[in-house]
Amino acid sequence: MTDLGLPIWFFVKIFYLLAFSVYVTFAGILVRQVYLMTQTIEFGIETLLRTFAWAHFMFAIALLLIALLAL
Amino acid sequence: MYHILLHTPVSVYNEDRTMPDLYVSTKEEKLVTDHTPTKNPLAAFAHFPKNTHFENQTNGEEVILLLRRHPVTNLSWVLLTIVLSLAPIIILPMFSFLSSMPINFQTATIVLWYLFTLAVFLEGILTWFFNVNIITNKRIMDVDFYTLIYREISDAQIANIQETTYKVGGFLGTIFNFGNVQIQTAGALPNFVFENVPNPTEVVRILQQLQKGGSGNL
Repeated sequence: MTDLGLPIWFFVKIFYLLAFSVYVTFAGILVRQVYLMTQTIEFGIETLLRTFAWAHFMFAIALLLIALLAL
Repeated sequence: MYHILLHTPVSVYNEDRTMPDLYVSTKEEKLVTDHTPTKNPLAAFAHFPKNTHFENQTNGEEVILLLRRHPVTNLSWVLLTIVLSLAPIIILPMFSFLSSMPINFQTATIVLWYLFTLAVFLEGILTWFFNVNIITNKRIMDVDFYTLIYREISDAQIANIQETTYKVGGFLGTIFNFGNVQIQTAGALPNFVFENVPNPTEVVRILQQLQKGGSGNL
């Protein structure tokens, strides 16, 4: 327990959730980056790349939600 | 099937070596390239790549060559990804404090570690995939994505190319035949460097061919 009466694991949880949020931000930027790149140059696999970027973003959000519940 | 013909006229000079009497087209016309379009979107050296288009492509402009860095240049981030992937298995037993954490925090630590590893992998592969050099029948292009959201695209007309040189060096470059192709352009236009591209000799040859014959004989 801390001086404020909060368990140390509360702060550790905040830190971990922050880390998962950073990853969600990265995944979001990745979606934007893939769109920018595929607009600049096309190789015939744009749909696949964009789908993957969105799936990765959803995966990151799912992990954040799981962490929110499990930690 | 696309052919690029290197036409080698033989001039017959007068004895005083002033003016040629005639040009004889010999059977020395060499087939520089005889290839089918590259279908693999991950190819580092793609002749007439299928389904490849770019921003600001003009009518009648055809992509002749698409170049990426040689795959072996990805070794650094591939190795880093492998080391990061294996690290929890090797390192975790050394850190006893992790075992004192509740099981959900232990799992979250490992998940975060692998997310970081995945981020390294994704950035490495996307940077390699989208940093390309393009040679069309009209111009050369250098597409660079430096960071997550910053890109630089430069181009120059084939007619503005003054000199092309290539440099193959180093242990890996010599073994795997990749190197830098330096393209000097006219006037104040920026010079281009196609870095670590496979088969630089062929790249220079195609560029020289385009300079000589334009797209007419492609």
